[in-house]
Amino acid sequence: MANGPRVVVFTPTPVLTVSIERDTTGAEEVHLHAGGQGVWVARMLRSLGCEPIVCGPFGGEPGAVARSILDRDGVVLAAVEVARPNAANVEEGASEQRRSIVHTEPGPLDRHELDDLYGVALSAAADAAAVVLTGSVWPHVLPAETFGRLASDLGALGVPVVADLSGDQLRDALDHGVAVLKISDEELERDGLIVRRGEAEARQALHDLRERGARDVVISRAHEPVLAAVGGRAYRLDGPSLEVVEARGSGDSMTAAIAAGIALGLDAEVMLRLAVAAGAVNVTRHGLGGADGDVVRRLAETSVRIEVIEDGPSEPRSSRSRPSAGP
Amino acid sequence: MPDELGPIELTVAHSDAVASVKVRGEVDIHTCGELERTLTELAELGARTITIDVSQVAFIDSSGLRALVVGHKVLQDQGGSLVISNPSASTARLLEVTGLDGLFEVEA
Repeated sequence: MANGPRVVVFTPTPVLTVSIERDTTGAEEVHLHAGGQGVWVARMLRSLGCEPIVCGPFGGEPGAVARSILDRDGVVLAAVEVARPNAANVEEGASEQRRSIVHTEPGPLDRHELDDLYGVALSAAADAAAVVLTGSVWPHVLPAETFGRLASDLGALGVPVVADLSGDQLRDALDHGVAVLKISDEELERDGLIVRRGEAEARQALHDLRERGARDVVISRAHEPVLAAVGGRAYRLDGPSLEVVEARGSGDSMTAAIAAGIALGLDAEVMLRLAVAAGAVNVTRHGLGGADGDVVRRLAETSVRIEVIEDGPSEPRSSRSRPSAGP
Repeated sequence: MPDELGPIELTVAHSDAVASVKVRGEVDIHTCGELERTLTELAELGARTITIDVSQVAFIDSSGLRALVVGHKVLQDQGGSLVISNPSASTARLLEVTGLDGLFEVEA
């Protein structure tokens, strides 16, 4: 268990995954995984020396199993018991051959469950160095305004908020200000925040998103360089090209590294290098968010190229948003 | 919506570093601002231990929890602490479920 700074990961939709794979002899194997965006972020946070606390609802048999897996793995939980089962996914095959056989969605949180989850998040965040807000791909689980309220209330507590959100959840959080927004250019395009993917569009989005309430912004762009606006500078970052084993979760690893950078009080450029390295390393292995922290740090120092592309970009509009570095 | 519309009554006593706040009514999105302001002002006036008597609180929601957590943070930053006293069964349950009973002292 890491003993570093505490980082709360708001995880509204934990997922239980049952994977059916074949070993090298062709024999079938069954694996159970607790996952979902927040869980993947938490695993990388731990690899990077932080103490993540997964704050989420757990219900039904999928919730009980996911919770016990996380307990077994030593992940600290701030859990709320809910009536409806968590999402579950049964899949077959590995990597690019993977196909989903059965997929169930989580139910909506009722008013009391939502209040409990909210209170748990505030309680866990009170002494945290940073909070990561991960979203729900199922909008019916909780209202989008929850993310705005959380951003506002966590800001009132002086806790930096790192948001990895899109859609209405992003819009609501931005309205209340966040310390850092991590988003992909694919999400920007889907949300209508850029008309097409490209460096010029993404650079404009850096400015626009700061205007809308993000103090700092990091935009991942698949195989293209990452763009970021942190403090008074904008950056372009190139990471190493590594063999892809598992393409999912790269953005979540970046988000985790950004939060770790804030929690550990890293310099902005060191934090960005770490984020790009974490995203790159994640794709090289099975098991989302589980990359080795030492490997990430070494790659960050040796294999990430960082370039200042703008010095002194316009400051964000929001005086409500949190400082760019430090707990 | 203005705080005045919410049914809440605060009775404050303050002497040196010790203060108490007796809350009567519902602590929700309409009234939490008044409680938060009161706690912050007491801390600014030098209170380091604030005891909130919630025996007459009929209902507290997540907005109300924010007021308590912000009060806790303000006091903690100044070396002080927040004490919640006489919670009803439902309030005690809420504090327990959310883990807030581990953040500040709760007196039955």
